[in-house]
Amino acid sequence: MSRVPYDILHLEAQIKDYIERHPEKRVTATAKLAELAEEMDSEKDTSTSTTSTVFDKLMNGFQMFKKDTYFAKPELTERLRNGQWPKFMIVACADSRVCPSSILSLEPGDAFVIRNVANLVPPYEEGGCPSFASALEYAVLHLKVSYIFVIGHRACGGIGALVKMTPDDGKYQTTFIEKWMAIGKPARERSHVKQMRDMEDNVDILCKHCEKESVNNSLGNLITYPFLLEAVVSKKTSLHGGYYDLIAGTFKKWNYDLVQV
Amino acid sequence: MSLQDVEAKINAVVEKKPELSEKVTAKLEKILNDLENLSVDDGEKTGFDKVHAGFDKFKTKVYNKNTELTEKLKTGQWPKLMIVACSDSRVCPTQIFKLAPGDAFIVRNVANMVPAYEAEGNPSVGSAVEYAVLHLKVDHIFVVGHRACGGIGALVKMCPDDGEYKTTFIENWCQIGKPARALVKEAHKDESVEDLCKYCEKESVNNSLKNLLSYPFVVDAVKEGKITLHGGYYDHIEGTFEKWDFEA
Repeated sequence: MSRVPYDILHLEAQIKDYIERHPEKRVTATAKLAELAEEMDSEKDTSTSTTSTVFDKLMNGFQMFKKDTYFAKPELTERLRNGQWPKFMIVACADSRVCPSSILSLEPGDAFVIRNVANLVPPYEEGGCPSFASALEYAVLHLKVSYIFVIGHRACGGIGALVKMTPDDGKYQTTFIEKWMAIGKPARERSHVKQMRDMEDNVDILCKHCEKESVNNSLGNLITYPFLLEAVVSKKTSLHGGYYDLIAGTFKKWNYDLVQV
Repeated sequence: MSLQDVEAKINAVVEKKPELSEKVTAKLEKILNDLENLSVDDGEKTGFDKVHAGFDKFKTKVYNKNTELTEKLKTGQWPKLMIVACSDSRVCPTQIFKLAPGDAFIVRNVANMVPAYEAEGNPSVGSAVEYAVLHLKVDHIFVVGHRACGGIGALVKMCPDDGEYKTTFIENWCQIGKPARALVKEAHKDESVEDLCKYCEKESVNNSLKNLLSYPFVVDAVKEGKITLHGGYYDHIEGTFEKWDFEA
């Protein structure tokens, strides 16, 4: 004999009946009930553990995500089970302070995101740098994104290494960092870092110029990919630059037009 | 899960924990009430409207609210964690773990791959690993894979061992996962392509973790107990997350 209280059985019958009359709400209703089942199932004594590790925090975060987003937006969740149709491809820095989902309040499904040191786009090379190129190929030819958005930021460690190190003679002190940052050398040239270094003691100002110029350098490198150039010319995709100043608390965005080249 | 399944689950919980009955009754009442009043999400902001509104929301709810954190991060970053995740729009680690600014240094590429040391050419992952281990001195590196990964799909269904690649770059990148594919095909010989992909998504995480151990500075840090390696798998279809520790 069921020990489930009558009230609960009655409510469940009412919900089932409602869904029969409104089948378009089945997905939402099932999701809300699933969330309730999970919530009740995991009701525990709230004994706080004395050592909360980084991974405890991550798993708690996952539970919160399930509550706030996964279950709270059942239509979105259901749609994303079947695929992804992001309008954006974003190239952002790996820096822990500048995640585009965070600073632009993005939702699951919004953007296909590449993150690397200093949000760099290497120029096209046959057989070269497949880490970036594979992502661009997938975004442009398969996902068919509408916007490609390269976002730089203030106080970027990578750009700092470009401005203060990465000598032209290639005698690098680091194993990989300067070799990677060498992609930004044209930006360093264009922002007149060398000339300014004699006049400007404040490295931060030099870096700021270079951070922004590097975004434009990356945007310029994007159009060296033939399949991307084609998508831009046929107006299937447009290119944009952004700059997050985490010290001033500002976000700037600009369009990148082929005419500028 | 079907409606019948979730109902059975709720009832099973109530039978096991009768003290929750009142709470469940109240919540079921709310669900029924909300259903009757629920309107479909419409009028989505498109394109850059959403971006600008998104930044304003971030400033109000995060940047201006957590002033102590914001001020601290103006002077630097000290993340304890480096995460390697897929570029897939559904699996952003910040979103799925509700990370705050400063929590994790995050690399994202197709199929969350870590190539072996010096195998990369232009070192997009190598430079990030070097920065995280030697400069940021993170405590943990976490490689997170996911279900229905397009890159792993390309690895399993394409990337022929002999023969030409059909894609310009995708297969060239995903081939990093070939050792994982070989293991999976051997262990699950007669299973469906869909199942092979699932196994490969997880095995590829282990393959990437193994590749991390081909970096001398990673090996040193692990030996000195400064860093630990971990794998994870997000199934956005079932809504589950699995995590494991990786030992050499």
